Amino acid sequence: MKDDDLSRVYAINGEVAHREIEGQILILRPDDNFLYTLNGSGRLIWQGIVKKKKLSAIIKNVSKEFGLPEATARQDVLAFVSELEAKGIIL
Amino acid sequence: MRNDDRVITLCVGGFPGTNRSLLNLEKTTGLTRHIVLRGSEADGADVKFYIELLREKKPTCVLFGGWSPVYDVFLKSIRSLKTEAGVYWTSSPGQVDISEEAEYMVSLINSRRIKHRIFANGELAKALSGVSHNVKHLPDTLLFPGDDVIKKPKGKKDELVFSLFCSPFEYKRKNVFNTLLALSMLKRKYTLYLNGLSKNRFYGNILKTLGIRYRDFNWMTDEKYQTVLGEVDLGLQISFAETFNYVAAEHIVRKIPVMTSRMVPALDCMPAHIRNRLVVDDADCASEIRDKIEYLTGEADRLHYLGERMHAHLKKENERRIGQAKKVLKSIIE
Repeated sequence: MKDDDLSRVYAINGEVAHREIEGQILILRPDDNFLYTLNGSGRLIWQGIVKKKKLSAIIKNVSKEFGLPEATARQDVLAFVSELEAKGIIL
Repeated sequence: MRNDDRVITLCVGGFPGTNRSLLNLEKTTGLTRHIVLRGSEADGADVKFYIELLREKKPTCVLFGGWSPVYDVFLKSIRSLKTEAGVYWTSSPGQVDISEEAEYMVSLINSRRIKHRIFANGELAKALSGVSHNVKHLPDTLLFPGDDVIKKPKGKKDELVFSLFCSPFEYKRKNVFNTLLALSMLKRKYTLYLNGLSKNRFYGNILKTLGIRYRDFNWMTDEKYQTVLGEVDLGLQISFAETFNYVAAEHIVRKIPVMTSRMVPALDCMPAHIRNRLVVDDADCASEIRDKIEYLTGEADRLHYLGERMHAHLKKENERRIGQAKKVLKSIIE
């Protein structure tokens, strides 16, 4: 993903059911039979996506909250959103 | 979950057979949506998630797989909705020690909160319809793989592969000991594929003592299982009791013949000339099992021919079962 893409704002697939319960994000895809659970940084990234934040803002937030260098946070966030996108959870 | 999902099937993860059955039901009928409950804690996060979702989606019916105390929470939560509750029972009376399940079954039959009482076992449904209302038989349905994953004939093989797959708590019901005794009397070369049996201390010793040549893959992922299944020439499922026997069906849908007992309904649809070759009259007779294996493996093309014919018959039967399952589900939806 190029640096320009860091301005990208993802949306959650409307067919995906999701809730935050007891500090965990629980996700059910339309064609899955079990829940995905997000904790820690995954939860933080998800909250950023829900709030329609740009990727750059999400990266900054992860970097700040988890005390990570921004380059590391960027790598983690991009890998994570790529996975969510590949699974059709975010668009 | 989609808004048009009118029948939600929900099952705790600890019932693999019931989950498999309900997943197949979703895929073959398109009339249900199945969800697997990983935890069984009433106050667990996934339970809360699904309860909120059910309240939001208001399906026509929630069909619980088997019975688990955690379902009580769901029953309470859907009481205020117009959602009906049902239970899908997969065990047959002889499959497990029913005394362990009898208490649940009786409470379900008498429960006013459970409207639909659905059984995978036709005889159980027939018998209980006299004492309870809304009792239905919902047959198991199967997913047939595409030709790309179906076993290809390999010509004559000196050493055939037999399979004996079952869960650790099923060894007695699956008649494992008689099957091993039969194999120990075989003259031909073979390898027996297992999924954990040799790890059991007692059966490990029996395998060794009887000189059974085996490969144990232990408990397999579905992907691994499909690969291993592709190498099998003959399945062995000479059970004392079964509701359906998915393992037998999983062989047949890949054109792999399976030897069974009379108690395996997966072979009920086979014509007499196939049943005579593959169904053992006396499951408690190791020499009869041996004789049948020797006959089946006596000619190179026999297993291939039987695999093809069994596949065709099961496919036809599966279409009938899907039709019947759709009828039952539509009676709930409408």
